[in-house]
Amino acid sequence: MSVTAYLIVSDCETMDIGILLFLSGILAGAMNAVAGGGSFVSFPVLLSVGISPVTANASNTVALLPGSLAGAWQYREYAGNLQGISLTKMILLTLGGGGVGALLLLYTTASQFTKFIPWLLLVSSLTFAFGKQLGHYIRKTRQISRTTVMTGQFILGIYGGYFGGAVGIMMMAVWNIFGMTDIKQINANKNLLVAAANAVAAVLFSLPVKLPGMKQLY
Amino acid sequence: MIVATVLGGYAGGYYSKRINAALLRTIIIAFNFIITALFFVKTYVVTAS
Repeated sequence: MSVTAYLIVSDCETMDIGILLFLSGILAGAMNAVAGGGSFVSFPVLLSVGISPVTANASNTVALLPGSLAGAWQYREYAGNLQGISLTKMILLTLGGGGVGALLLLYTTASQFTKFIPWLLLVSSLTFAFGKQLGHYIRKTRQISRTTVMTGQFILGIYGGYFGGAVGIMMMAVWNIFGMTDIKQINANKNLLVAAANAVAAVLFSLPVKLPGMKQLY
Repeated sequence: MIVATVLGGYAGGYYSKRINAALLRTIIIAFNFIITALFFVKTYVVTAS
């Protein structure tokens, strides 16, 4: 059993799996709507019920999609352009990146993915914690162009499609570096763009036809 | 789980607009580092031993 899930429920085997998944879903959905990081709860719980890491990650992406959409609806009044770039452009970039990330996941082995997870989480945690200071430094030393913001968003989409976990946190951290500070607008756009990355990944994970070498997740 | 994430997402979106942003940020940062550390322990300490 994963350490995190162990902290949530001390004896998973005696608890009904359905109830456990439902409760973790509520918590994860709420966390994602607030700021991100819902996968920090739901992903370990999926692992704890015996699902393989890559499939658990894909299932997590699919399960969290409606929650992201619900959060986006709640914040819809705050959603808007990012650093002069239209929200539509940002959504398209995220969809493209999400597709690339999902394809990468389908070619990753379970053992590779397991070793990769803590590092993905560490990068996102550090960026979220120190993104503001890093952003001040970067903006002092160089000009952040619209191309940089759009490239960054495409890379965030890849991250989101590959590993749904903490992508909301990553987006907020990177936008912080780009000089966005309105937490409510950041939250609104984050919910919408995370939903975009999750949606394209969910579609690719669910396709019945796979290319040679791709994993069959379900 | 999908139904649960919708309920959680809606509730989280509603209540987060009423929470102090700085406090929210501090809680999230602390939570992230704790979970990251747990994953490192799980992957590189518990599994290896």
